[in-house]
Parts: sequence; structure tokens; C-alpha cells
Amino acid sequence: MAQPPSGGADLSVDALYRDHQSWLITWLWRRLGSRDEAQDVAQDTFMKILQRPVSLEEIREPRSWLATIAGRLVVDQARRRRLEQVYQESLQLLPEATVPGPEEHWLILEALHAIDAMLAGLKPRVRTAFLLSRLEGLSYQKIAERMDMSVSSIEKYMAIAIRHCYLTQQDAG
Amino acid sequence: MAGARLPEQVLDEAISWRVVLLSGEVSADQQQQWQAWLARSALHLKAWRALENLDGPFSRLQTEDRRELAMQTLDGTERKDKVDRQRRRLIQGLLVAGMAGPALLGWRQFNGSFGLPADLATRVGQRQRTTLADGSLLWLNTDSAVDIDAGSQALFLRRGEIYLDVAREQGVATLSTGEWLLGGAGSAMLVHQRPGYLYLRVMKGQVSAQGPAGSTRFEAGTEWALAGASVSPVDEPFFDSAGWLDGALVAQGMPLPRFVAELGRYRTGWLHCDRRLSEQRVSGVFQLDDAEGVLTSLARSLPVRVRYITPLWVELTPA
Repeated sequence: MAQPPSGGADLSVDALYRDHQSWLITWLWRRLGSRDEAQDVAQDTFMKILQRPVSLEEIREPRSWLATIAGRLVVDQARRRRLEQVYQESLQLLPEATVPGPEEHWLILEALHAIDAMLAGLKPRVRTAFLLSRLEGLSYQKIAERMDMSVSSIEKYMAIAIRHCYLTQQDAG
Repeated sequence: MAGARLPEQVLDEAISWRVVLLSGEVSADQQQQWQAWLARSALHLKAWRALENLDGPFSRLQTEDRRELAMQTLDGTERKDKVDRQRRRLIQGLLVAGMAGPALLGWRQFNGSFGLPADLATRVGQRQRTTLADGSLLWLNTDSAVDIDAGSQALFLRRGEIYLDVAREQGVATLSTGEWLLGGAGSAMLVHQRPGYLYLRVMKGQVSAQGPAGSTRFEAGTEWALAGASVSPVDEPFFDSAGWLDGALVAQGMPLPRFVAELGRYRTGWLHCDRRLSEQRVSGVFQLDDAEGVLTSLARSLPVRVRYITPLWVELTPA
């Protein structure tokens, strides 16, 4: 967790909350179609702001700024749900003996979500090449054979993927 | 991820080295050059660490079983994305070509479940009551969808469960499920599209039906499973399938897995019941609007532990 905001900033977050919280809930409500969910995401949005020291004076359009953060959270949540759904489907395909225990599911899902969020927006082929390397541990030679491409293309893909991951992590900060 | 963004050139170099080292075939020469690059500047080392940290989540998935599960899941989300994109493009294409009306209408008649919104639909956990133009009463249970032809009051059940109380005087409302056409003035029926069959319970009057088994009538107080041309009575004395009309799940000695499956219809996410619990029975009247509360009360009255793996995903295991 980042350090709590200093006195002045604290007041501003307070003001932000007071002035825009109900607007944000309405904005989210319209998008999500559920009041409960809208309240949850609005709450998360302010949590996120508290955790990340920003100079609030610099924010000229507080509502569009809030909407950006909240919008990102909504997308993130949708990705997480879809991931969980596919994970459930994948579990059905596993032989029973190898199905993880209840405690382990959460750890695996967290790791998968981190990877999925990091790779969001990559072209499918780049994503596949990167996963074959980092997850399956294949050499570029093997990946090239499997994807029917040249080794130099795989090298290019890897560079693209690594840069992409680095930048998404930076943005997510 | 703390820290300012790295200078572009350092990032480029670090990425190039990372690509070399992950190739699976690194020569001793390359190793040495890489070490020399690392040693040249503190910033190089910092950049290298930042890239190495990206591998964190992968390290937790390194056993063979987990790798396979991870690959399937991550690959699956990708495929889902692709299908979604194609569907969007298809609809856009139809709209551009001005074909949307007739083409989509054809589709709707074909399977009734294309990406268009239904005329009436409920989300998970929602129930809705409507009066039709002929005075008939229609209820939609959780996660259900119905199309209505305004002229003829013909309903089409896309998914889920409905209760239809056809008006006695001028009731003309009928319900089609694709296979069956159900109706009858003064009758009331509960119809639920369950996996593998259509559940029909006649609450009052007489329901006349046309379907793969020909024309037939079902009397009040009977429950049926319709699957293709097969029509068989349903015997579930442990469960009142009409309880939801009062917002309740009514169970009497209901097998726990069946109870959990039923409850799961009213909450978003996944609810699983360990097979070791299949002998447990549940009795009581439970509020459908508080599915989480029902889970808590189960844990109090049965030897059951409720584990939240994620907020959406719940497993019931032996306590």
C-alpha cells in the first residue's frame, strides 16, 4: 500500500467523495444495470484513489478522471469473471485426480488473472508465442515449429510481448 | 509497481537481452556479454529486475498439471474474445447491409437465442410480473427471457422459467418453446427449460399441448418432463417448484446437491457441492433474495462448510 495522502490531499479526496460520489454511482449504475454493483465499483474507485498518491490539484476534470478509473475497474472485473468462467470449463476437462483443491483455486486464479490482465490487448499470435515460452517453457525453435513460423518472427513477438507486459504493469501501477 | 518509467533506450536494450536469454539456446559468449551489460550501469540492473518481475505470476503455475490448466484457461479466454468480436462484426455487417430486419428475424425463429435482446428478460436473481394485453398474467423467474408477439399474444420462451396464468375470458396467450406449443384459456402453468428437458407443471385448468408427441392435454396438479417425443411424469415431492412465485425456495427433505443447484440459479457465479455431501437433506423455506444468507444458514444446520474461493465462486465441502 502506498502511504496515506498528506493532510491537504486528504481534504481533497474528501471533497471529491462528497461532490462526486453519487454522480459516480449513477454513472456506473447506468453502465452496469445494477445498483449494488455500481456502489461496489464506486467504493473500489475511491479506494484506488486513496492508495495512489496523486496531486489532486492537477486534476481539472474530476468527473472524467473518476470515470476513467471506474471504467478501468469495470473492464477488469469483466475480464476476471470471464476468466473464472473459462477456468471452470477447463476444470471440467481435467482428470479428477489432478483437479486442484479448494485452497489452491484462488492462488491459481490470482496468477491467471495477473497474466491475463498483463497480456490484454496483445495480438493472439503474439500472446500464444509468449505463453508457450513463459508457461510451457518451450525454446524459440520449438515454438517456431509449433506455430509454423520462423525463429526470427518468434523473437520479434517476444520483444513485443515483453514490452507490452512492462507497459501494462506500469500503467496499472 | 513503483518507479518511474525507464529511459527508452535502456528499456530497449533490456528487452533485447531478455529475448536472448529466454530463447532456450544461449551461448557462453552471449552469457558473458549480458553480464557485462548488466555490470555497466545501475540502471541496466534496475531495468533487468523490472522485466524479471513480470515473470512472477508464471512461477506459481510451474507444475505440469497447473501449466496445462493455465494454458487451457488463458487460451479459452482468447477464443471467447474472438467469438465475441466475430459476433459483433456479424451484426454490424448485417446492419450496414440493411439486412438486419429480415435476417435476424429468421434467426430468431430459428433458435430464438441470437444476440438480440429479448422482449422481456430478467437477470440472475430478478423476478418480474407482467400483465399481457389479453389479461393473462406472466411471471419471469431468475435469468429468464421471453419474446412476445404483440398481435397474437404468442410467447416464445428463450431461456429460464415462467409462470403463465391464461385469462379465463379472452385468454389467447400461448407459449412456444421451439418444440412445444402450450395454451388453454383459464389454465395456469409453470414452464422451465431445464438441461435436457422441458419441465411443465399444470397449476390449474387444463393445458393443451402440441409437440413432437402429437396433441395432448395435461391436467391440473400434474408435473411433466418433456424431452423430444418422450413425455414422462416428474416426481419431486421434496421440492415445491412454484415457491419462487412467493420469493421462496421451499424444500422438504431435498437432496443437498439438488438444493444447491436450485439455489445457484438465483445467484451470480458458481455454486458447487462436494459429492461427499450427496446424502445430506435440506428442509425449510428459504428466501431467494438472500442466497448468501441461505448458504450461511446451511452451514449452521448441516455438517457443511461454505468456502468462498472468490466472491462469485463458492464450494460446499464437508465440515
